[in-house]
Amino acid sequence: MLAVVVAHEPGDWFVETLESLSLQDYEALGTVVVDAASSGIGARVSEAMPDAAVVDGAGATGFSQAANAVLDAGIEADFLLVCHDDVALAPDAVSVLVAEALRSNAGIVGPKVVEWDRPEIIQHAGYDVDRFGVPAERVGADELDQEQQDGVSDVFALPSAVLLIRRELFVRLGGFDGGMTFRGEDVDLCWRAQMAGARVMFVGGAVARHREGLVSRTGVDDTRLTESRHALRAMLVNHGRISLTVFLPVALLMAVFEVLLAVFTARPGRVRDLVSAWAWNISRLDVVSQRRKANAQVRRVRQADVTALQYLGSVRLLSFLRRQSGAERTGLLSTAGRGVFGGLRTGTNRLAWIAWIVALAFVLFGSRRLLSSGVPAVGDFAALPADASGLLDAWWGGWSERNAGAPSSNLGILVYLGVLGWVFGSMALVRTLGIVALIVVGLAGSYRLLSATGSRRAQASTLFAYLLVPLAPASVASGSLAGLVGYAAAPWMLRELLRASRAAPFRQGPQGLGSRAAVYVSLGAAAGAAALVVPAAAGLVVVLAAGLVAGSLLAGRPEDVPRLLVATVLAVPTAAFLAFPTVVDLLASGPGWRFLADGRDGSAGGVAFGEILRFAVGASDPGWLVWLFALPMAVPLLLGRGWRLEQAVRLWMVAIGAWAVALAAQRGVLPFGLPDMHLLLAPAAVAAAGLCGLAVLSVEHDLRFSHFGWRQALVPVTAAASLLLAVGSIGSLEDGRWRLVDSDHHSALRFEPPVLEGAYRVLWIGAPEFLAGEGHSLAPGVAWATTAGDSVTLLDRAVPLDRGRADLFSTVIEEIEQGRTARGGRLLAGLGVRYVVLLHRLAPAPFVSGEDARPVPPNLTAAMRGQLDLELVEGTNSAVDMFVNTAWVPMRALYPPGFDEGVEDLTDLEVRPLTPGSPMFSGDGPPWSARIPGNVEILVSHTPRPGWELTVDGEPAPRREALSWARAYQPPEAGEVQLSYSAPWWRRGGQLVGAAAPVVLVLAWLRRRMDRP
Amino acid sequence: MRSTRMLAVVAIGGLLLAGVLVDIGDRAVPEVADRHETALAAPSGVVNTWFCPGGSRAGGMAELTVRMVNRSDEPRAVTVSVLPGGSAPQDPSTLEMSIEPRGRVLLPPSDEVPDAEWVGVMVETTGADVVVEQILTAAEGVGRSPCLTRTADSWIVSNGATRSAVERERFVVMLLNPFPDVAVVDVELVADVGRDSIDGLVVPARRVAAVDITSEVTVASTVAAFIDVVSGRVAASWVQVADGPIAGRGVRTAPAVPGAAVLWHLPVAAVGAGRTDVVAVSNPSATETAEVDVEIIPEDPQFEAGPIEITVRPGRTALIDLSRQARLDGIGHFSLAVRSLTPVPVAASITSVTAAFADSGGPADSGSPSGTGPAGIAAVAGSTATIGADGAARRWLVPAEGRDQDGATEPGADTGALVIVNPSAAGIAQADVSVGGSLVRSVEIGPLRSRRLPLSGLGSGHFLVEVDSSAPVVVGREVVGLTSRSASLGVAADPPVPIAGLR
Repeated sequence: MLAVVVAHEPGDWFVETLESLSLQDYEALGTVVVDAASSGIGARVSEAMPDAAVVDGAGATGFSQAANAVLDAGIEADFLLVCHDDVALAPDAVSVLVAEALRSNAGIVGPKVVEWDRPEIIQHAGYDVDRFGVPAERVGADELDQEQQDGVSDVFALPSAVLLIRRELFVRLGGFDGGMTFRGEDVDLCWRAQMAGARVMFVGGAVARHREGLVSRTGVDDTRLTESRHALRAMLVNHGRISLTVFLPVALLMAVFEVLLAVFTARPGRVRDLVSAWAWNISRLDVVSQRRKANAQVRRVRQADVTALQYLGSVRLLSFLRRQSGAERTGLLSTAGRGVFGGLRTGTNRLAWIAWIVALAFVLFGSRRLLSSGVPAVGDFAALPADASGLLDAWWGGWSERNAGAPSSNLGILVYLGVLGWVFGSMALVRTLGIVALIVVGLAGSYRLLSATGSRRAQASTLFAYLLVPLAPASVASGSLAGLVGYAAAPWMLRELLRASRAAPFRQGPQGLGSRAAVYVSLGAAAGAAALVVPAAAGLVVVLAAGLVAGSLLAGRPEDVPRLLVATVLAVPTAAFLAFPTVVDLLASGPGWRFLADGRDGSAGGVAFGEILRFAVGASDPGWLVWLFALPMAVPLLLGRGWRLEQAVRLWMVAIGAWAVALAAQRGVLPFGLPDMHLLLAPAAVAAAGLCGLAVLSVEHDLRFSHFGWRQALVPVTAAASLLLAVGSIGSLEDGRWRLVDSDHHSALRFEPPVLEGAYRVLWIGAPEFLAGEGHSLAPGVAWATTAGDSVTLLDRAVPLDRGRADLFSTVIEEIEQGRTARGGRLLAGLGVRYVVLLHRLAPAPFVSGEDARPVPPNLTAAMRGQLDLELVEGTNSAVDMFVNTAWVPMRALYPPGFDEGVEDLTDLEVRPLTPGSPMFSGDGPPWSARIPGNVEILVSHTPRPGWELTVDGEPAPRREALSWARAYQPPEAGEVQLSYSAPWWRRGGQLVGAAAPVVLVLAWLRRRMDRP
Repeated sequence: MRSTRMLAVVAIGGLLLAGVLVDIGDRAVPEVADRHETALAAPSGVVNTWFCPGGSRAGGMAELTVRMVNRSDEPRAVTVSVLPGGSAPQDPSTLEMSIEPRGRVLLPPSDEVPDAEWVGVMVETTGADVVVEQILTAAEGVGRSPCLTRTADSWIVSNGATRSAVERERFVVMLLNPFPDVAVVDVELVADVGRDSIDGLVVPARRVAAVDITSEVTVASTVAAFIDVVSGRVAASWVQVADGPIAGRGVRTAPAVPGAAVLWHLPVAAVGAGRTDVVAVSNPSATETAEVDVEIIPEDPQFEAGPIEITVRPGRTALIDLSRQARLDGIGHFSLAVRSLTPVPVAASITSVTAAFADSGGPADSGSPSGTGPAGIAAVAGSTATIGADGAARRWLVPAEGRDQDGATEPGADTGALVIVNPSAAGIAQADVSVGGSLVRSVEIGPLRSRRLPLSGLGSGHFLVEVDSSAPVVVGREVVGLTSRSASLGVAADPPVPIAGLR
């Protein structure tokens, strides 16, 4: 047995290293010190260990070459104990290692390495290694030594800090790879040992202390560089031909991704290291080739068998993800050193995995027909344009067709949907996945809600409860995008607010200004992300905060109140930044409720308080079983102590606050409309789920303090209720589409293609929940909206800069409704309306029954039917009344000059109806191009706003007001004309900022995460 | 800890209980303003559309003529759409014309659609000051009524007769579909001889259809038609021609009643020798019986007469022959209010047959303010029909004509009258009656009283009477021509209010 100590200008601790060797109880232990720096340490060695030999390692570059010096020294020993100069072994370490090597017939064995100054902290317990040569610690950071690593186990690699290797094996392998100076040489050695059929074993009974201060000793931090370089080298050298063919491209892709990430997060050093690693290896392909040939000589085990011992995924990627999830404090690939999936063997982790598997299976199985057949355009679930480029063009165009047209930045989410559509190649698929993903995002948020408690059971309970709260199915069944966005966002918002309150247990971790700012930014990000899709969803922060404030006061924690208020206020900048263009448009159009209320006017609804409590607000009734939620929700209130009781009170007040708002909306006591009921109830849903999580904590921690009595009985009753709830919810999986109808109104309506007939608008009238576009209130429970063309898309939900000429539509509808005209079609023709559709149900019959109908008021229906120029389309589905405007003229058409003479006001069209012009500019646009004859005018029925221009052969054409509100362009001569809209530069800039905002926030978040140790 | 828990439990429980209690009360559901759909002709828009369901072509049963009167001092442009009916293919025709200030235009529309057997007209006018009437001329006489200003999906015709052999009666319901899509109509006929129905009658777009009830229900002394428009909407009126010993001789036409109501006013009614007024009350309900009071509103405040109480079974029509009501002896001219007590909405109308002789003290001499006139002046024979008014208005337009076109009206002769009824039970209405923009009479009408103003005292020839009242009133007219009589409601020039809502 020979100990080989590679020394490189060691410090004072070196004496302790040597002494630890001399104190070993293994008698036949010789020592060789390789002086890698030729610094003349012989005297120090002789003083501490007179019997030790010193080998001059001059010329050796790095640890590997220095250690390999013993290969040429003609040493005769069965085992070599290779170690750094900064390790100190326990007296029995060598004997334990040797005994285990002999007992297990291992090729390489290594001790448990603990920290030099804090021996109670485990530093290394062997490595797991992925197929890219990257090692992963089998212990967590600062993992306390509680004898959990005292066993013996097979590992893939051991740290070179100290390892015992059979001399014969070391020689056969040719020692360490001399090209690997520091870091990675141990992985390479062990990998080759595995190839040679040698076992590599970790022996927890042997202990060594290790300083591990290479960077401070050399003064050069090349850790990332050397790790990357040597991992790639190990991969290139040690993989078989086939496996290399598979994994090399993957490694290259990952490197590219890593480089891009580093570029975007402004990490030039990381870019340099990664590029340098690849360049270094490429420049040494000859060496790689030689070493591969050498490896072929020693290989005794099939490559597949070696690969099977390695981690299937990417350690680097997993490490990154673990840092994002905050789980970096546990072992990377394993927990308690039990291997990659060993963590599953621990109860809590297994519970978490099972909970997630069940939850995802539940969602996917429940969504199976949505995923296979797509989501019909029901309610808010507006379709997306057929192709991604159309979506991106519309977004960039900065024009919305709402309200007869108005400038709009459009929802920022459109950019990302467009990009996803381009990636997936199908906008419909993106839409479907997006809707299902919202549920999963909400579930993830619910799981993270109580992560600060450290209880996997509580997290799993919250997850299951949120899964069973019928808000998501109700939102899907009702076509409520707002409800789903609320479902997705509310848990994240609540979590950040709880963190901001710094109430126990959310006061863990650093509490500096930076951490608090991070919380505010996170809260704002959650609100802003929700507002990207549904602007009103950002308001959930206010509802949640109000509930928490009330709860804190009730719980006797008034000190939380200012923190919550500050967090709510300081979240605004981030939210505004994230939803930048939408916020600007909302402010520019005048702060008001109408965009938030989506056509609701504050009138009373028909949902009772009991139904609100049961989340039975949509197209489907979840049944009485939902009442069983009351039991687990009551448990923390009745059993909880300390912070569990306080948090239970807070969550109860959040739920009650949301229910109260919903009740107020349904009672019609507010002077303004509120958003969709599903959205209003999202805080109640997440609060209910959180209370279920707290119920588990209360039972675990607080029940034991109670005297025997009814409290003990509460537990089995609650468990039975929860089980009943779970079983009852299986019914919602039956149809595979969360009871969303199979078909939408578009399948029941027939619109002529605008390209053939000329551009037109469709006027939709019905309950706000039935309208795909954002509505304008018309009467209690009735709203109207207009769309352009034969389809309704998410673009029709854009927030316009102003109201356009919505007033004209309101006027015409009022004229018709009040019976002041029998020629409403002529008036609507002046606005380009070709179809009027009265929606009486959410979807066509028989998918929605008459019981769920909310018919348009009979007065209005009769008034529409009383118009001489609105032709009722017979045979249309009973859920709608569809009228064709027989007096319609295209929105954009050619006319003889002076075609609208005498029309001083839109209502003049009643007596001076327009004759149909020749349709033009009917395709997708703007811009549109066409060739026109001379002596004509072009009617463009858009709200006239700066930016619109018609050019004839490149020259702008004069224009005048037409029909008292639109524009007529007067081309001076025949030629090629182009009608275009160009948004002002500041608006375009705003759109870019808005589109970039999420990316900037994500990169900032990544950078912060990457900075974590 | 214990106090926190107790406080929290009590507070949370209390809040939930409060929610329950709050939700127990009635919800503040805003009243949806239910626009009053009146049966009256009431032009109220910038552009008004008149629907004249029409009559026959020249030489047919009752030839249609449309009279358009312009009340304003400016010319009015009108668009007349002549809608054909019958089996012969014929396209609608459209005429653009202008009516001189305070002028009138008589249009025989059948000239525009010469192949059509039946003719209807739709007139679109600018402003609310043009009145459109349809005049049906037959060998038996002339019938007049204002055209309709609305369409509907249900109509009621209360009282027709089909005794073609003895009384030479012919009863036709005219349906006009002005819309660009077809209408499908079910007609249920309830007669004293039994019931019948016509299902799925198609009225093509922009056409009229004449439903000859005479051929469907024969030899019925009374037949009511309940029209249900299954698809689309139509305007409906009816034409009754008679020449017999009981039915008398004449042509009467009136709009059908577009909907039921609980209170109707019939301004023009009378009893006397040679005159038979019959009130028809129809109950369109399929299940509920209507208890109805027919209240007498005499012109003479001294006259007291209790209401006539009737019961109308579901889907039936009750007829009240006023000439047989002893309580009305000596009342002369009066008005009626038909009130459903149940309250099941009903429809009310009145028909009147006047024989060609006079009797002192009878209605024929009502041209005299006293109600009695010189004997021996022959009354003009004829029959009239008037639907009830379910609404009242402050302004009315009434086309009228005096018999003295040649300046030869005999004193005391029956020249027709304008009848103003104050349906309010509490307020007094001050009504100014103008002709040609000049105030002619100003009358005060007490609560639930009526005033009858002889047309001969208001103007001569063809003229348009304007009534401007301080309170909502109901205005009717009875026109006595040289050879025929007609009666109808006026045209409400102000948005009508429901009579049932008046105090």
